[in-house]
Amino acid sequence: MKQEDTDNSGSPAGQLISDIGSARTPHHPKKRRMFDAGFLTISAIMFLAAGIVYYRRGAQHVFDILAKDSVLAVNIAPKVLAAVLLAAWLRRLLPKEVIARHFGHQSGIRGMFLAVLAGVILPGGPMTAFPLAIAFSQGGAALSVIVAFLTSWLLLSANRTIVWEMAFIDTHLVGWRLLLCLPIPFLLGFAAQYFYRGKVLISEANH
Amino acid sequence: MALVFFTIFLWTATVAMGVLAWRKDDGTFVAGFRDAARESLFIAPRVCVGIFGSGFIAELLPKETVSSLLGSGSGSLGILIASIAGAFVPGGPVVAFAIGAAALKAGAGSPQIMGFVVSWLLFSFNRTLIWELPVMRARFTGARILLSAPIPLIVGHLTMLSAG
Repeated sequence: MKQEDTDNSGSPAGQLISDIGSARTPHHPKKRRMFDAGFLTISAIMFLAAGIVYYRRGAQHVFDILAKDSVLAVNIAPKVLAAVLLAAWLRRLLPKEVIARHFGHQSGIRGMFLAVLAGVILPGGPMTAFPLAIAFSQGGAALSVIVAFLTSWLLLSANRTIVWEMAFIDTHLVGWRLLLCLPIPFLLGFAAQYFYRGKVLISEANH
Repeated sequence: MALVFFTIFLWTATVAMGVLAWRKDDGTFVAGFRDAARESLFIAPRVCVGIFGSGFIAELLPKETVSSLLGSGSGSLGILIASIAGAFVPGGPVVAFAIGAAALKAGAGSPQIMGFVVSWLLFSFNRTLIWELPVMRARFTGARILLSAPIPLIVGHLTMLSAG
């Protein structure tokens, strides 16, 4: 279905670099490819690792690992499905412009609190979060608010934590991590305000 | 227990969104459903490769090296090594968390893995290069990274203290 995209793109590595250079309109990032360089790389690593396990420990061991990880995959699948549906509906019900209008133009503690909340509930990946930060900036948000929002999305995103982190890492450890990370978006927001007062970090060129 | 609670929370939120989309009665429900189907097709092969690949890598990780470099006994140096490694893990959340889990199984300490995970979350180099730099530009990205630089080490050490 999407294979033709990869066919006319030249070398995946070359595409990666030209994406970075030509991203003058970041609000409309290029369409993702089903089989991109990253996917091909991790696939190659998977087959290589499986081959080495087979060579060292034999076929039985390979099957044991496949069986154990299939259980993990089956456990994750329904959660991924829920998260993907949640993200898809939320994106249509609450478009970027609406979030930017309600959370964006804020400043001070109240603004930072709302920004951290937005970072926690925002579904979707970096293709949503960074353009939203720019939209906040266009809406007149303070630097502290933008830093708090991005740091919150990076460290506290509910979507990423529930679907991915808890699938792999012991929930007790994940709980500790969230607790320790909870104040960090606020601290970094204040730090940004203190160290970069009066400096232009996001300019018209970003918009 | 916590996992069950969060899973219920996730599904409740999803069903609530679905109901809201349905009640708007303007095609939002179906359009969102179609978006989700497309996204699932994109994610499914990546999740499988991430899960099975990291399963095989976990089997191959040299246990002695992992526990001496990143074990609970490795202290601050171990946290530093893990934090640097975290920033350079290629790929998305599946790969990063799976490698963290594999290292834990191979004998890494929780403060070290905490440093690894937080560092990946904050600095993941391919997310920074492909998404943050083009959108936020160098000045903002540089400032954010500079301010965040000590965070993985701080979180790692706080974990070490809280673990006794």
